[in-house]
Amino acid sequence: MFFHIVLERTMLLHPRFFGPKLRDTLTHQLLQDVEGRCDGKNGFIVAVTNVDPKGSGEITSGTGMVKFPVSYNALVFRPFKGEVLECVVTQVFKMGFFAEAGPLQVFVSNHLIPDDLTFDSTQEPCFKSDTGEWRIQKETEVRLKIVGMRIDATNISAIGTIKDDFLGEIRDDATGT
Amino acid sequence: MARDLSEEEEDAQQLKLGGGFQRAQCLLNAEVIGILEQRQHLEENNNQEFTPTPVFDKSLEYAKRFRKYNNLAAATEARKELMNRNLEQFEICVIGNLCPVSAAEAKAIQASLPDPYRKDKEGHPDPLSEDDIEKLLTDIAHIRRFNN
Repeated sequence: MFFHIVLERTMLLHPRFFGPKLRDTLTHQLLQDVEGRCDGKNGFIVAVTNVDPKGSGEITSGTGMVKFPVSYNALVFRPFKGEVLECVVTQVFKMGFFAEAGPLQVFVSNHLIPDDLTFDSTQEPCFKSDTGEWRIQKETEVRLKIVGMRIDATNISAIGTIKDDFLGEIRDDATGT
Repeated sequence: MARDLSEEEEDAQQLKLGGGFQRAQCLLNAEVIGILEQRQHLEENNNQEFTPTPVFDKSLEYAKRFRKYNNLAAATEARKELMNRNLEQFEICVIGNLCPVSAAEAKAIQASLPDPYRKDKEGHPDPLSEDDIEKLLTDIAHIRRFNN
C-alpha cells in the first residue's frame, strides 16, 4: 500500500555549503540520500514531496560539520503482512512464481497455489487449470495476500499466497478495468 | 530483535499496522500517479534533469497499471464515498484499490470489515452492515463506469 507520511532525518552538512543556497543544498542532499531507499520500518521511499528544515543547525565540535534536523513528507510503499494486493507475474518456474507490486518482489511457492493449478512448461512456463481456463504466466495480473516478509537492511521481499477465496488471476469484470 | 517482534504483531487483516502507519494517510493508486508526476515536473521546472530511481519508475508503472480510476476526480469521488462510511484509512484504500464486487469478496480481502464489535468515536457500534457494503461497492462501480 502507498502511504504519504512525515519522516525525520538529521542531515550533516559541510561548512562549504553555507550561504544563500543552504536550503537548496539541504533539500538536494536529502533527495539524494533517501529517495529510492528502503528500510524495514518505512518501506520503500518512492518520492519526497516536501522538505521542511526544523530550526537552525548545530555545529558538531571537532569537525565543523553542521547537523540539521529536517522533517520531510514522503510517499512510501510499505507492504504489510496480511495485506491483499495486485501484482504482475514476472517469472514462473516449477517451484512457484515471482510477481511484482511496484518496487516489491513477491514469491508465491507452489504450496500456496491452489492444487487445481498445475505447472506446465510445454510452451511458456505457466500454472494452469486442467481445462486451461485459468492460466498464470508471465505478465498475468494476480491478486495475492502477503503471508510473510523478509526485511533486510536495503530491501523488503515478501511471500504471498493465492490459495484463498477471491485470490489468483484477475479477470476483467463487468465494471471494466 | 525489536524488528522481528514488530513484524510479528503486524497484521493488515486486523488493521495492526504498527508504529507510524496506524494513523498514516493511505493513498489510492490513482492518487499516487498525481503525486509522482508532480514530483517529476518539479524537477523539470527548475531546469534540472530528473533521474528517477528504479523504485520511482516501478511504483509509477504499477500505479498506472492498477489505477482503477481514469482520473483524479473519480478517485477523489470514490474516496469521499468511502470516507462517509466510518472506515479506517487502510480499509478505504484496500476497497478503493481492489474494487471488490460483493460484500463477501470485500470481507475476504479485508477481514476487519465490517466488524459488529467495533465502536465509532462516540462509542456506538459500527453501523456498517453487509447491505451497506454492497451499496458502497455499487456506488464505487458507478463512479468508475461513469468516468471511463
